[in-house]
Amino acid sequence: MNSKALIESYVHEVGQHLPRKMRADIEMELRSLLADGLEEREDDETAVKAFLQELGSPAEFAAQYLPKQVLIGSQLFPIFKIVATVVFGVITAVNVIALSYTLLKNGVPEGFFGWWGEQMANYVRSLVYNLGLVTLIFAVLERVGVSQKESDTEWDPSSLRPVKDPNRSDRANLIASIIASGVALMLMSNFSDWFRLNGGEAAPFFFSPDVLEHIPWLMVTWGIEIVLYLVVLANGRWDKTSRLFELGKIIFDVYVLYRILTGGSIIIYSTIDSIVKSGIGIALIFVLIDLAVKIYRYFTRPPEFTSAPKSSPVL
Amino acid sequence: MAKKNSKENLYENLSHEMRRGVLVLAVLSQLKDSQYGYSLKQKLSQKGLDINEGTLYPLLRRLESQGLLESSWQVVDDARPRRYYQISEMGETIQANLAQDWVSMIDVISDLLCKGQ
Repeated sequence: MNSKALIESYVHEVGQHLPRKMRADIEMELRSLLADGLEEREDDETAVKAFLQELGSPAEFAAQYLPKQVLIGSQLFPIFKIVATVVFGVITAVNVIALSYTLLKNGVPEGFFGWWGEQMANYVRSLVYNLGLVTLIFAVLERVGVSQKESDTEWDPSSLRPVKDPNRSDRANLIASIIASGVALMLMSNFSDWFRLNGGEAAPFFFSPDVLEHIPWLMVTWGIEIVLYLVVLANGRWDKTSRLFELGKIIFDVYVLYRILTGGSIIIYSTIDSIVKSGIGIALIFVLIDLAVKIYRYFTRPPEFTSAPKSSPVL
Repeated sequence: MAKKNSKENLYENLSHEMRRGVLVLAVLSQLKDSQYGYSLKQKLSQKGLDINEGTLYPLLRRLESQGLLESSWQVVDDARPRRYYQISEMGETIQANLAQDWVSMIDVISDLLCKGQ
């Protein structure tokens, strides 16, 4: 390509990266700039290429004329975040309700985890579609220049809310849980006696003898809970170790619930047994969601809250 | 070696940022007489401020859109058509204010740098 053709190609390429309304004007100015810049240089292809290299690629040169482009700007972003959170919450709630209804109506399906995987895939697809739509709408609003009006009232620092320490132990909650687990342990330790008193038939509330094999596992989970919560109560707060133990406990709870769900009958009457197992299935779903949230929080928790500060530096 | 390069890059970026802050004042100060882009670049370069075309030309366009400069295509001395820029009345007022701010800032920064040593 000769020098003139090279210059024309460069000018044309820069123009392609510019909006139509400013293109012609900038192209004309660029031709003038190139002519002035090359006046003092050799009139050959090498000199032209060197000068064009100094100017940068057509995209880079054109970008200097354009304002910084964002998908969703700082004014619309807070509203976008709220809307996206609401959409996420609604889709999650609808999916949980739909799953619960399916379990209640049809009972626990065979191959629970395979079915669960399919439901999760549908849930993720629904999230991606709807959140993508919300993002697209806000991107269009940003492009057409719709943005939040700046507030006329002055911001008042008194409106700030205190920061909650997520690792501070909730004493009342922990004590209530310890008492509930303790009562459950005491009741379960007498469970086998109920069967003995009924001559080996169903215990009160028509529990099936198959339940007996789950009792030790349930007692272990309540025992772990009591020990863990006593330690947290003694420390006054959660730390990395107790949070890790909590995650381990929840994983164990998932296993125990799964055992009960896929084991023998719980109630001697089959209809009531289906309802109870559906309830346990729903409980399992909520425990899995809780586990996922806790795992996420464990890895994203701010470091200053991972242990009680020993002393604060004087600023 | 990678650490040194990133340190050099960081310095270059920060230095660029600092220079970018004074470009508007520098450009406005030299446009009392009308100039075309390339002649302005040469003039600034002779006075010790190097600025590349990719920065200067979009800046001139932006200042014009903000009303600080006026421009027109002219053919001077039978040369090729060139776009000439000159500072506007509003541009002169703003340039004077910016120059005052700049002088105040020099005192403050010099003071900070002395006290910091």
